[in-house]
Amino acid sequence: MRQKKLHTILAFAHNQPGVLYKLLSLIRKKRYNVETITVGHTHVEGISRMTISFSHGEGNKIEQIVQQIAKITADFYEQEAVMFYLLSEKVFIRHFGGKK
Amino acid sequence: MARHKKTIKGAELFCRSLVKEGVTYLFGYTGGAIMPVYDAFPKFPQLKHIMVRHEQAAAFAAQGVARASGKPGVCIATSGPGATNLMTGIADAHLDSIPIVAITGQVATSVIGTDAFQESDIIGMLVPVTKQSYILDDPYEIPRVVKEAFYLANTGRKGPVIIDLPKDIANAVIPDDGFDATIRYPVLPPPGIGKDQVAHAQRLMASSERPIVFVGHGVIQSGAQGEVRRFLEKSNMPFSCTLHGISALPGDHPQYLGMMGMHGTVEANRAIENADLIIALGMRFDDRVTGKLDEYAKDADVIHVEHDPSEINKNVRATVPIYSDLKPAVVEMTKVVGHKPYKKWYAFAAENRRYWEGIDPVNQGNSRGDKQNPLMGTVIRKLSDLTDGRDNVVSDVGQHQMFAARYYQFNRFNTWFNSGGLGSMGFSVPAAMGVKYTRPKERVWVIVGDGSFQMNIQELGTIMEQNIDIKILLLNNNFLGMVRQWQDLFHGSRFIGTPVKNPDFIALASAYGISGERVTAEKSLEPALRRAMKHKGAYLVEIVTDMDEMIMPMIPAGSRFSDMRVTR
Repeated sequence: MRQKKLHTILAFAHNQPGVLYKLLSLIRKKRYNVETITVGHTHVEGISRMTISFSHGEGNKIEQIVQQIAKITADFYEQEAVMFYLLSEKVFIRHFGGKK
Repeated sequence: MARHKKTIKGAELFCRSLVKEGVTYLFGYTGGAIMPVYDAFPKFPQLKHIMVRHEQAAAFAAQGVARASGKPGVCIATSGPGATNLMTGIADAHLDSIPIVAITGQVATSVIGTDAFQESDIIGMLVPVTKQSYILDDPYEIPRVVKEAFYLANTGRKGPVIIDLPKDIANAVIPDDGFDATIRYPVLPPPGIGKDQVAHAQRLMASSERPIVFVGHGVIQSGAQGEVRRFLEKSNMPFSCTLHGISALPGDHPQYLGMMGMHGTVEANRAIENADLIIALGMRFDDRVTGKLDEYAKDADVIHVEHDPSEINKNVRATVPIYSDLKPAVVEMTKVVGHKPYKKWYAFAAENRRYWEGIDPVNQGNSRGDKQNPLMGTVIRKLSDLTDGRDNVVSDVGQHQMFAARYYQFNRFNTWFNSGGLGSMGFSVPAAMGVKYTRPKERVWVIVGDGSFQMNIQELGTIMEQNIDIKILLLNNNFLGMVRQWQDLFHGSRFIGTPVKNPDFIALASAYGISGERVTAEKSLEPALRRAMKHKGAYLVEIVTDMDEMIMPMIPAGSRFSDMRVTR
């Protein structure tokens, strides 16, 4: 059996109906399997924090799904959606719209 | 007694918000849940509602408006089946990045989720194919939601947005003041081209001997045709268009190699295969463009300019990924590009062009006798010549679409409309209605096959009722031609599910009060087209064509460019 890599995405989004559905719909569309999912409040009122782990055979499409999730979350987390994602052992940090 | 405040109904507030967004035409179909909005239309004479005969056509007609005007088109339907019928048109708009705002009625909020009559979870169904979706559960939110919907549909990468309006919200009566229509989350512009990227692009352009520029849909949508043209003419690089990039620049431009991809020209595809530099502007390397990815343009560096970062490095890895709007990036690149003659490179293209012209059946079949049906390519070329390549052409999906893309010489900006991403049969007739409403003084042609025509043929009723002056060119080979071609080439000529027993199209059109004629020989082609052009009102020209005609060249799906077939 092929070794599946586990990818974890941490996203911040507005606490509204449908946001989680939108994220999961994207993951489902790409035929990835969700392994764990945690959603809760943050210290900022109205902002949720989502941690989603999913498995996927190849790593080369991860960059695109991260960009696509960024498009969704950036809509919701005002202009400073910050997202971390773990790819293998490396950690990348991206800022969307935040000043460098 | 308290002073009476002025009140307004949710539906009227909704219509007023549409007017504020500059909406003129709404294509739609009424029903139970959307009735309150329809009831408010008479108070807003700026809104002109066009009743279609099927909701799918409403979505395509809204696309016609959007594609021709660059502003969001609007379609409206009731809950349940009305909403689900819109889906194909919305999914189509999503794949082609067309800004439309779809409005659907919904059952009252008190019964949502109870499987009420004509309830469908339309938001749940449409999330994967819309940019954003709203369900209005508070009438005070109406002005903001409508404003945001139009803003999001037409900002950044364009696309469809849906607003689901429950009946009780539309019927709610609220005080007419204190609305906040501020957009909550403005879209941030892309970062643009950086100095390092300009320098890197400059180095690649300076050292390239065999460059090719790709002109995509983004060039039309961002209105960057002038900037792109200046870049091309300063650099003297050859260019090729994607299916949706066609009509961004004149088809008779000397640097133009024709369309790229599966049914692209030999010269464009051979150039791509041998290029050392690709400059891709506003396009997404769709699988119909690239064929087998591992073998695609192996020797080429890629400069990819895109404003949607999820399209960069998706299929083809970019040497210089430029996450930017087109105009500023192209302007910066123009500053640093030098002029080169590319003599050998153009000679190579010319050689491939001559090779194809020598074997193109359309060039050889010009004098087919009365006993033979005209070739599809000949028909399109004749139309192109008669209209000087300056008319609006709305095509459906199939062989006729590829013939139209290849043999009509588009000399005027943004005059080519078709369903590229989703490839929805039934697109052309309703989309042409939208184009005609947007450009009432221009001639609009529909190019359609016998299969596609019947997928939204009920819209002849709308054309009749509204006196919509569109010219329908029906290429009838009594077959689903494109599928037949694949069956012929890859499925041992087993023609399963592709022969079509057709009605008498001329009689059918006549039942809708639409004049028309049938053409079976080439000599009657030109007079028929001229009559169609002269006729006031809709006109159908049915051209009987051969079932075994193929659109060539062809790069079979998932194949290398070197596997291109030029004959069967």
